[in-house]
Amino acid sequence: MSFIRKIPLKNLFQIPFARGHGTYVNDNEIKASVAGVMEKVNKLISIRPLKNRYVGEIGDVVVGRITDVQQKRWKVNTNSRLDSILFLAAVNLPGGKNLNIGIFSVTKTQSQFTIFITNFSHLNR
Amino acid sequence: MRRRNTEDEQMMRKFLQEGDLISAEVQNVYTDGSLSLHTRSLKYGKLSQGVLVKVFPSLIKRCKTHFHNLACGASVILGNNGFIWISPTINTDVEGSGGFTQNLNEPVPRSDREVIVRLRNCILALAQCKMALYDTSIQYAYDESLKYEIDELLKQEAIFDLAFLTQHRLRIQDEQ
Repeated sequence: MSFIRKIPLKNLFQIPFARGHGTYVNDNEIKASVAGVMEKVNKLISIRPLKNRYVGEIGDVVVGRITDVQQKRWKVNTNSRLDSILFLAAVNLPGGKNLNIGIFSVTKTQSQFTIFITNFSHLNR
Repeated sequence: MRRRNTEDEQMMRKFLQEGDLISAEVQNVYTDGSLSLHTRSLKYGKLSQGVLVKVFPSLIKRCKTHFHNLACGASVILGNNGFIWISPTINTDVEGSGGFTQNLNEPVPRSDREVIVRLRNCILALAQCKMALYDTSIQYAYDESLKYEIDELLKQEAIFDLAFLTQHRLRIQDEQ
């Protein structure tokens, strides 16, 4: 299952074709502006680039590196155009499964924080 | 009971610091293209011992699952963003930590290390020849690479040979 690699070449298609991403028109010809796989859907010609930044879909699994620690969230480098965000609320913390319902505070978020604090003590970093 | 910003940050730093590697799932995509991630499952979390390989995102084939325990004796996480994490085989029955405790002290045996490095070189060879990466292609590439020494896999002839043989084997399998 290999890709066919197309380096920017002259395309001998004429104007009746519509050009999509990764193409440009020069001298009445559609040319590829990026190296990639050509995709032709009816009259639309577009190039899907080989070397592009990651564009995320919901439900994708990613591996990332933490670049920044901010208030209530982390910034993660995932090779996309912008750093991804990991919210503190979106993280499963140790002891999360055995939440002691006896711990309660004024608001729900504050009660979560108190639980975090009591469970930090046994983490060795 | 007022929480100050520095206390929050120190708390967060105890979990994840700059430079840590995590596996996560994309929860949301904002209009500007940035992603928000979540690790709301025990299989996601901080990654401890292993090797990170960066390839182009377009080479990662979309599959049902991206966590694979390969037959050769290592685990692989194929991130859709092109970051691949190779680590010693994860015992799936070890649970409970929520994925945030790091096991940096346990030494990895040499045989496991060799499997991991060989896998890394195979993945880089496939990536250089622009072949799609998924569990089957990586497993076949590993099998075909056993005739070479691990350092030989970095040479051009070995890379082309490996990609050619893997492609051949995948084609045979497709035809069946």
